[in-house]
Amino acid sequence: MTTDARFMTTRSTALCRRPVLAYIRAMVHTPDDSALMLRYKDGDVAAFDILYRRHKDAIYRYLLRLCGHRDIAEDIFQEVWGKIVNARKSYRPTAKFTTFLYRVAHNCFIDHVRRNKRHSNNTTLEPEFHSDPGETLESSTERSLARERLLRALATLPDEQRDAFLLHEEGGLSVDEIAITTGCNRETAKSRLRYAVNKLRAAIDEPAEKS
Amino acid sequence: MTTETNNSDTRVSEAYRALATETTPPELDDTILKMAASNVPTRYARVRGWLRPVAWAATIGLSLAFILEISRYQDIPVAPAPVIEKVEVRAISHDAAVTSTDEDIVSRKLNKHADAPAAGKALAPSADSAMPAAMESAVQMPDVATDGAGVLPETEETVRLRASEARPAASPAEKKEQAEHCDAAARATAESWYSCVEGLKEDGLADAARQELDALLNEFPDFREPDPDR
Repeated sequence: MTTDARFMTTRSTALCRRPVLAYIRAMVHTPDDSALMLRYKDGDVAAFDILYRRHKDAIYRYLLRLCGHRDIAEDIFQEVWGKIVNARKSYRPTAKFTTFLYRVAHNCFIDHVRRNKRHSNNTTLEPEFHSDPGETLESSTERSLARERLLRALATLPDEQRDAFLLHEEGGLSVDEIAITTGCNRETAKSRLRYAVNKLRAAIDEPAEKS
Repeated sequence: MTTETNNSDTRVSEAYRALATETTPPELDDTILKMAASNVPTRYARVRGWLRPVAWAATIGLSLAFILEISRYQDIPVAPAPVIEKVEVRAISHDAAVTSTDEDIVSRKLNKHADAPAAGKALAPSADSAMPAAMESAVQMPDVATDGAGVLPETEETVRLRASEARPAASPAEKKEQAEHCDAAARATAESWYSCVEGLKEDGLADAARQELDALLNEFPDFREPDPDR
């Protein structure tokens, strides 16, 4: 290590010890999402643009699968990002940004359910199937049936299990992060995820077993 | 980590990922990005944040400067005439035991003279026309005003004289009445009239004495004024 590099390392370590400059450490060591959010906090709108385009589809699908209605999902989606924007000034990179984002989304969904007590999970979604060009008609049909069964099984899952599965699949959250996001302990989150996956696997394998 | 891998079946994940192809509507993206952009303060908004305190500071500064300028103008001494006028008015009001306003003083004096047959008509015409002349005479007689006991008669005489000077278009009858400083008893004989004239001279009323002397000589042309050298 050269003298300059050693000096820079020492200097950055000293800076990171100061609480005032904690966000510099966040810019250097935390994931990119937090850095982008901090840049947006400082007024960089382009950083938010990147952040939004990185997570928008996953969040949208998460809410869409939870609600089952596009309009409601879009309303909640807008509410979620509105809260993220408004939380810009008070944002601190204490946790992974994805955990923060999905926790906000989860809370917005819970609020929506509480506002509309008669929450029904009647899925009105029709999955978009894209068949491969070289795929035969029989295999394409089989795949579309499998997806349809998966979608139906996902819709019939209990809300907590579906939530855990979607957080894992769409958000890429670990069991611990799912527990933090949903506000339960780790074992509960783990069992919810396991039950959800087992049920979905059974739904996928169902026709093969029958055949 | 192994447990998590077991929990999330790869086949389920693949099937779900093949299923999950929905994307956000473009109009929703525009809405959110606009909201995010509008929430960030622009340079103008930051400047605008300073506008209010700067405006307050400027207002206070200008007000202080204005007050200081006004106070500087107030330090310039005023003309001495109003001060003398106040002194005179105070002296007159003290002697006449009247209220402090100038108009009251003058009007009372005019009323008093109106009661007197000799000088009443000369000062009577109207309070509005007589007031400035009376005021002027009161202002221009500091020695009389500051004098103790004899203030009132001399001031009346002065008022009368000033009023007569201020009214050049007086009638001959009025002039005659104005000229009569000696009463009828004094005018009975040339000697008594002349003694009255001497009294006027001793009182300092030279003009009145000259007028009375002229009238005496007109009335008694045979009268010869005594030689003062004798």
